[in-house]
Amino acid sequence: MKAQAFSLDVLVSILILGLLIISISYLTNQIIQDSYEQRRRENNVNQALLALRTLLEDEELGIVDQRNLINSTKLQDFLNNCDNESFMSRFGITRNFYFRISDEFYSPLYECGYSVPQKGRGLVHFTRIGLLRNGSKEKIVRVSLVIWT
Amino acid sequence: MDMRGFILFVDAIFAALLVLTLFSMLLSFRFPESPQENYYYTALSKDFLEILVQSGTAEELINLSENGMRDYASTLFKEFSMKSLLPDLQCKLLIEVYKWNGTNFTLKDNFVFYYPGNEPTSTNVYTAKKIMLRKNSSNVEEFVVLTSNLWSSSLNVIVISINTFLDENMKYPSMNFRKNDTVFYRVRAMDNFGNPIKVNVSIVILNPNGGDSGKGVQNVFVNGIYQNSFNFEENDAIGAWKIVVYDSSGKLMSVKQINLGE
Repeated sequence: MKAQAFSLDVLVSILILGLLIISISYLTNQIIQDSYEQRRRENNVNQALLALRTLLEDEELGIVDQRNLINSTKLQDFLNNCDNESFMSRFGITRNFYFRISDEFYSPLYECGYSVPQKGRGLVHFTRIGLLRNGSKEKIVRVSLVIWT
Repeated sequence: MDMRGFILFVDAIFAALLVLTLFSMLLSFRFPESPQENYYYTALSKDFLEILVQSGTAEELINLSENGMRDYASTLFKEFSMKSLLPDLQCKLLIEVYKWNGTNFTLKDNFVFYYPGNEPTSTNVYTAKKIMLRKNSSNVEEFVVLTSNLWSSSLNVIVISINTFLDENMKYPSMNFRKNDTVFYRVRAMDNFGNPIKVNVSIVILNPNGGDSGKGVQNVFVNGIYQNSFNFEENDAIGAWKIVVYDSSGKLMSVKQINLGE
């Protein structure tokens, strides 16, 4: 009787140990995955914000004559070189991206880059506003950048 | 120590490890990076002021206000904000005009404008300032301080995405359907930083003629994600159908087009 009870104790203890080991390894794995995904998203957020800042605030590198005032010639140059990786790295864009300028009703006026996937890893999407100067005409536009890994 | 004592000892160590892991999980929990959010919305606030000045709208607002046409100025500001601000943002603009009285600058006028028309409801208000010089109607130079306060009106709702699938488990995405098919759809609501957010929306399914098919749902609560389905009947019109998401105020948030074939 004593021997039976002892072996039951051993079985229950082994079961508890097994469950504990499985839950600990699952939790550890989950923490690592979450932190990796969070870091990837943060990197993409930084890259998108930095690229939009360069495009809309830097008069030498960007597509503007002065902050937020988009020059159509500079914009065209940017669109023509959109598929050139070394050109895009000037803006800090080193990952998959989609760039779009749309009007006040969100209709696209200019776009370049890759088509945005339904499930992009660490996909982030930011929009800023600018004034597009074309000759003597000026138009309020929304400049959007999507980045994913 | 007998065998039973040893096993209990090992159990106790693992239980302690489990508690430690749970604690470390709690401690490692982080809120979204606030410096990035602060930077982004403050940059938007500055963008708003820049294009307000560069487009000449700021000058127009001052002229209209100084000439007693506050209503026109208010309408002009609302139209400008509607064109330039992102859908979930609201704004309060303060314009302070200073004149030179011979010894120092004194405040001559100040005007406040709101879009769409309320004081900030959010605790996160992003402020930007800009100074501009102008000449008044008597050709005297004045300087103007513009202050924009930007805040989010609907919990930062920026991205509403709609996906459609052929199966209930949502493994097979599709935009093309046939009569008698069931369309399984998923609506995601996220802020700019990819954080899921809570929002009330209405989902309308438009037929190819643009009419409401009645297959949608009114006033549903989306807690980051919402899933539902509807059926195409035998007598439904063939062509491009649309799944449209509106917020609680009736503002369009997202549209997804799907095709119904034979």
